[in-house]
Amino acid sequence: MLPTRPPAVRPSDRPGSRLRGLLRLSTRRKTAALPLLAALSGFLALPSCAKRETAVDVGLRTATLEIGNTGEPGELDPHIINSAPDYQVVPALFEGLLNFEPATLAPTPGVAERWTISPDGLTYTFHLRPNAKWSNGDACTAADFLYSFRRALSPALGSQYTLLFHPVRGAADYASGKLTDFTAVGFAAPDPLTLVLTLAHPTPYLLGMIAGNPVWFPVHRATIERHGTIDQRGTGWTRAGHLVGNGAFLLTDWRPNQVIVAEKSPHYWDAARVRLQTLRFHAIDSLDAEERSFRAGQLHVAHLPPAKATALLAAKSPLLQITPGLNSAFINVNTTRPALHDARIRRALALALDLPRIAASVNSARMLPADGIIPPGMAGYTRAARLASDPATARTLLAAAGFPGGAGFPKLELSTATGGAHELAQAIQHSWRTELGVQIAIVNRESRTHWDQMHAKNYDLALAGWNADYPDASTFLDLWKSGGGWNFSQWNDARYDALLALAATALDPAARLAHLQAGEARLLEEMPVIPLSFDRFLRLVHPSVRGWPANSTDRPDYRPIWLAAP
Amino acid sequence: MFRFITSRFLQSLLALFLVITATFFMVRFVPGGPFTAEKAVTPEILRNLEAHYGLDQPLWRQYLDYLGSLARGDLGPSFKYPNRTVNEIIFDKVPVSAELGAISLAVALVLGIALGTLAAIRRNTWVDYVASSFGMIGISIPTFVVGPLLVLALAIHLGWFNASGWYGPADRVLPALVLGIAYAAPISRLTRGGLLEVLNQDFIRTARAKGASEFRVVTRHALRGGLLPVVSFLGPAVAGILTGSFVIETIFQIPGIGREFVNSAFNRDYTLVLGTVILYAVLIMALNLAVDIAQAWMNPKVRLES
Repeated sequence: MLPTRPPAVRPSDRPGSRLRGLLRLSTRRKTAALPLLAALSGFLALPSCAKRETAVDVGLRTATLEIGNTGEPGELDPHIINSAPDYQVVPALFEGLLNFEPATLAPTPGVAERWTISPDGLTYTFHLRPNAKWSNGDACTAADFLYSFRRALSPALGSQYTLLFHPVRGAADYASGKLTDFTAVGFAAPDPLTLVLTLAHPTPYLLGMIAGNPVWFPVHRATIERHGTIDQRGTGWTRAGHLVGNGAFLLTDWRPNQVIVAEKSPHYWDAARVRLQTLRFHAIDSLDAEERSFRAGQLHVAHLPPAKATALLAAKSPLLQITPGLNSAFINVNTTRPALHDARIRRALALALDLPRIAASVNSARMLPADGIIPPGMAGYTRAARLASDPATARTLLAAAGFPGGAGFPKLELSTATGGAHELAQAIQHSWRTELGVQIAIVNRESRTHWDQMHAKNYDLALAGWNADYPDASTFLDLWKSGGGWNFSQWNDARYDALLALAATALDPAARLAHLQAGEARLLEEMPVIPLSFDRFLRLVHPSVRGWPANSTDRPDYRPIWLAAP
Repeated sequence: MFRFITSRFLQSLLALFLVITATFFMVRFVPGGPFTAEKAVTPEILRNLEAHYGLDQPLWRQYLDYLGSLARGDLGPSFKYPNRTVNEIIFDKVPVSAELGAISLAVALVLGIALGTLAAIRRNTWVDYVASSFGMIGISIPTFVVGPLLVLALAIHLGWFNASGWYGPADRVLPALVLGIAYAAPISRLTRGGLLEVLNQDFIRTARAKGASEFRVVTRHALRGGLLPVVSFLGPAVAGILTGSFVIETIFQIPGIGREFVNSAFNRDYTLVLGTVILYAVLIMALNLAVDIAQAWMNPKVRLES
């Protein structure tokens, strides 16, 4: 038992305690709350001596760019990264063989200063610049690239983007473990400054694959091996103080869930052109908090809730930056479900949607209404067939399929993931009910549950999307090949497969384009997926930020950016 | 006393084991896994990843392995953050949440007890009405409304504070105030109620009769009994200030454990889910025990035998 003290009673007590003063004052009724208010306002007034210098102001003085980064990067290892915040940081720390022109996504020199392609399209020779260096001063050579490609393809590493190496001879077999001798893979380094790639088949978009994706970036062999083996995950080599990169910036601090700091690298071959001294990536995982931080002067560049973007767009705010993205949002249609196995019904569902009107009502800033499945801005691709709303034809098709006016249509569900898509789903549901008389139930699930159900093909209709892996139409069209891993519609069409096979082997660009166009046309005729929109990237950019090269891959190039008083 | 603590400790250990077991299997039965993404990984790569983390073993085997490493104090690697271990994440984040929790708790206690006491001794006057309204308003308006409102006024319009972040001492002010007010409100209500009950009792009349000043009567005699309801509220509340600070940690982007606790479930970061659940289970059990002991000390009617 704990000791308890008897209540001590004393006739008087010590004077002067603050609480006592407060209580005594409180007996004089009218003034009771005054000291409390005074204390509170004093507390609030404490840090208010003058308007503080904000981080944005300081940045102007010190050439420091404060970036809102939507969340905490899972990793900074170019071969392992897979979430959006990772892709904002890694291109600052590493550089691949090629970079790309922000506007056209055309490949530009990176570590490779020039390259040649053999007439049969099977051999690519890259000539590396002799002054390319790692951030510790080591030379960055062809051997580094060979080592990195071997690492990225090692099955045990579990890189999720090995697919982007598949055009290279033997790469797919090495990644799956069927081939264990890396020298048999089509990579070679005849000398320290020459890298030769031998392909299995001509791949006109190979340079786009190399320029656009960090899985092609080199890593520093000595650093990897100091912390583990070549194919070991999560060894901690990417931590600040360990990481050695070859990019324009060098990782100097990584405080989890707070900030990642990168300083200008003195060893970068083009350091003279880099104007910023410091990049600070803030791991702000709430769009609302990110937007508030921007308004409080903490960030130069920030993301914002889409609904706010609509308001800023209407007000023609100069702070709002809207960039078209290489992505496509659509409805996956499970073609094995009742009614949905009939192409006429899938087409009816698609034609009943007035996408421009839906986009305007749901989010005009973010959604660019789709007129096909492939977004604009794909190098060398133009759409031949277009999708346009046609409710009358939709009703005719539905009636022809045996459901005039929606009578007797089976009860189907439209699955969505929590967070944002609910309004879109409701707009679609409304269109189908009013235009076709078809009742669809909306099922809203937590994101990973939603994706899991979709991947298990356990759904009727599901909101989905795809980001381009490289700027070529095939990154989208390949998804719906018969039996493909991402063909969640389970749609098998020999004619479509044949068109894609023709496109894959066509050496003449015009012939290839024709096959791809025919492929998209076939898709829009059969509708295994119903196109919805191409989503744009929305950012707030402070007027002092100059030369921000917005591009449709949303992977910024920080080298040309500078800060100047607005 | 010793017997009581020993038996409670053993009970807690059993409860902890059940919590670990239930969490381990529940998190595995949730659809989706750590590698589920909108862009599904190919079955081949998924196999490689599962082999790396031992997820290809039968579930019972994984469970035994987990218990084994847990016995060695190793909570395993994180799935979402491959280059960090769960131990590291917890040691990194708990001090932050603890600091936020301690400051907020101080704000809550000082503000709550002061207002509750004022309301009780000035019962049915405007002082009481103001203090009680504060209590009602504080309970009714959630932190995700108060937080952004304060940010709007004090950070964006007046520019006194940062809107988010956890860098300097000034960054502690707004989150601690918002979280503190949220807990001050129920504390003020409980203090008022508890104090009113005690103030009507005989020993208070005796104290007054013996000539003790009103201040002394309240602080030395009445508050001790009057705060009993507050103390029993504090056990779960302290745990709640740490766990429930998820909202505050998100509004103000504080790198605390509350965000990991919630986000790990969304990320299906199995090991981090378990690590944070174990942490909170231990915390809640320890706090409840502490509350029982404190109550026995404050109230002679309670005896620690059961």
